[in-house]
Amino acid sequence: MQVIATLRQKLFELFRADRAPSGYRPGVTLAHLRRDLGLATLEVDGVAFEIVERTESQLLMHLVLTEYVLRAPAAAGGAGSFEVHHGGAIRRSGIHVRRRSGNQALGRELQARLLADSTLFQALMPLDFKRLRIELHDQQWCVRLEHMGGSEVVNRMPAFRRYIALSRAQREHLLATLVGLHRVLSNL
Amino acid sequence: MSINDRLTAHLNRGTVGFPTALASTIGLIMASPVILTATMGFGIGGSAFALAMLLAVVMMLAQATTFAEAASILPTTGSVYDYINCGMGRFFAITGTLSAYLIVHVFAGTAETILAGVMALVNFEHLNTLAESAGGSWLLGVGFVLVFGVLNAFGVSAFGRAEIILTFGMWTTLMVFGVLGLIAAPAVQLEGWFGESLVGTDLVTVLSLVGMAMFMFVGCEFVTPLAPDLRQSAKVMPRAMMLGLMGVATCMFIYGAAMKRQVENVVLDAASGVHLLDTPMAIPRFAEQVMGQIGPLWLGIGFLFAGAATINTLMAGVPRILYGMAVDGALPKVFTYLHPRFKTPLLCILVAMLIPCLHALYLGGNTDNIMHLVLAAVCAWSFAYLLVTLSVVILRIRRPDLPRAYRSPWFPLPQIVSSIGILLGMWFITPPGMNPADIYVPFGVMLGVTATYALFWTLVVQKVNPFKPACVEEVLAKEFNHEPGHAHASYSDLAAKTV
Repeated sequence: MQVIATLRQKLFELFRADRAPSGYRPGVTLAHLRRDLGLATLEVDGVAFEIVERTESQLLMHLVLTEYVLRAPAAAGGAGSFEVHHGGAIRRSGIHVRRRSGNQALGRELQARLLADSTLFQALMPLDFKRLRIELHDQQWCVRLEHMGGSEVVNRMPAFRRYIALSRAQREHLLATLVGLHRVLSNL
Repeated sequence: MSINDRLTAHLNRGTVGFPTALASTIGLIMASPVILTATMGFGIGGSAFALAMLLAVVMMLAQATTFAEAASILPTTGSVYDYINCGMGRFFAITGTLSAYLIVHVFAGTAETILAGVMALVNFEHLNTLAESAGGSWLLGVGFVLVFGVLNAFGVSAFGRAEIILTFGMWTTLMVFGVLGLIAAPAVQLEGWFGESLVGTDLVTVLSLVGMAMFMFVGCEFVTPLAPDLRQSAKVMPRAMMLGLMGVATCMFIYGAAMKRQVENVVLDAASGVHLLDTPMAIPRFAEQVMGQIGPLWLGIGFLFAGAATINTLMAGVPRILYGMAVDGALPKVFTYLHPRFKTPLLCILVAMLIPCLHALYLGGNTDNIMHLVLAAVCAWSFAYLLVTLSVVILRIRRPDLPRAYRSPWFPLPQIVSSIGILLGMWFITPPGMNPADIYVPFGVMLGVTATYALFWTLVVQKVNPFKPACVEEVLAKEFNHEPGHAHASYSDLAAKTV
């Protein structure tokens, strides 16, 4: 009976959705990214943020992606989830906010504030972010930003690992964006 | 803190144990070229191919200890490039790295593209006839490349959640068919487990099969970057490697023995000497023999998903690497272009799509070329291995003082074994019945182009002595200077990391 329970547990662990891919080295990509950022602490102009690692598995390959998490107090209550993306078909033509849940008016207000803050807008436009999600919950904003850089490709056939660096220019845009988002969201 | 102290601190982290190391060792790869290589190898070589596989295991194991030592000296993001750069200079570093990554992809990626459709559709008689009349079943592989390229361009990640099921499915499929083929009544009377060799059993013949056997263990060095993180890495890593390699070898032995017991290796074309086991047609014959009507259906669906998922992986991984090279300045800036909405590197995806498609079109999708492509990929891969081994040996002699969390045991025996094995494997890479020029010429041309580029890049663009080895401390300093509290190094320095 004990053996069956252990086997069942092992099988469950093997097939669970958040199982780490084989060859994944927790924290290694994060360490490379911290070197790229060159910050003693995860703080810029008094704005603290976190970086978390997550993996995306493919057959015989996995990607290690990093996500910047920023929290800011919200003036407004309620809950909502918004995605920010660039507009344009070939060239980036602007910033758009897409509401996933929550108040439509809040989404419009968020877009207006992002466009109105010229420093933030100028940092966001050239930033190579893959995903930018802004969520409101319990009177707190939570920003999750995934950049193309600071990731790692781990391939099995042919076998190689390659870290995708965060360039210096992108680093500047990224830090300015985090500071700008904190500023805008704290007043929203 | 000195570079050496920082490297020692970095290496002392040792947080990974045996289970993780074992899980990271080479997995069974049901990629179509690997299965066809195994089928053909056992078909022509029988027990001689089994012996060649054992030799390949020993060589791979010896080679892995070299990679592990290199990773412990230089735990950098540049990996192969940095190992060779510190041992032999930038020219060899660029040539070796491009050979290990890009040339292998050019040959093995094309083989996968051609075979993905052929291996799947050959199991469905009517669909295969239809596909052949429409231009050939290999076009399905090209279709996969186009579809998954476009999906990746839109940021759609296919198969992401199905990875574990596919991996488990591959292993189960091969084991089920292998074991059933072994326990079922034999359809062919064999001498021994793997039957007689059609090409002889002398040493030269066995060596001529080692190249093919090496392809079974593609990616064996996958675990080696873990070496610095392993607790008691000197013991744990070789054990994990040995168990991983033997696991794959056992699975392939079972598959090979079952195939030989169940499928008569009849001559299909007396003029060219082509036998049934030299072709993908052996797969449905084997499946039907083992499991009746359901067999080809199961294998067909298995190969369909495995082929599609492998190509999807190439389309997801290669473009991101090209993007990374452009960020480092090794490729033109235009490769950093991302689509505004989907944030996908469109130009990189286009290049990753064009390489296997154009190569497959150039070859006309002819499956007769598959083994040449596989063996040319093995040559490219072996060449990079040789350069890494040479670099590790040079560093041991020139810099015995460097901190090494993992030291290759019995130095220089593993390096001698792997280098001699690889050189002999490359020299005798052409199995009986094949024209050596079909393997050496494409490999030589690609290597020549790569070497020319490396020479141009180092002499004209970087304006450095291409053969002067880099200083280990400088390479480590560049890496660790990016640690918190240190100023950024110039990105033009990073541009040296070509791949």
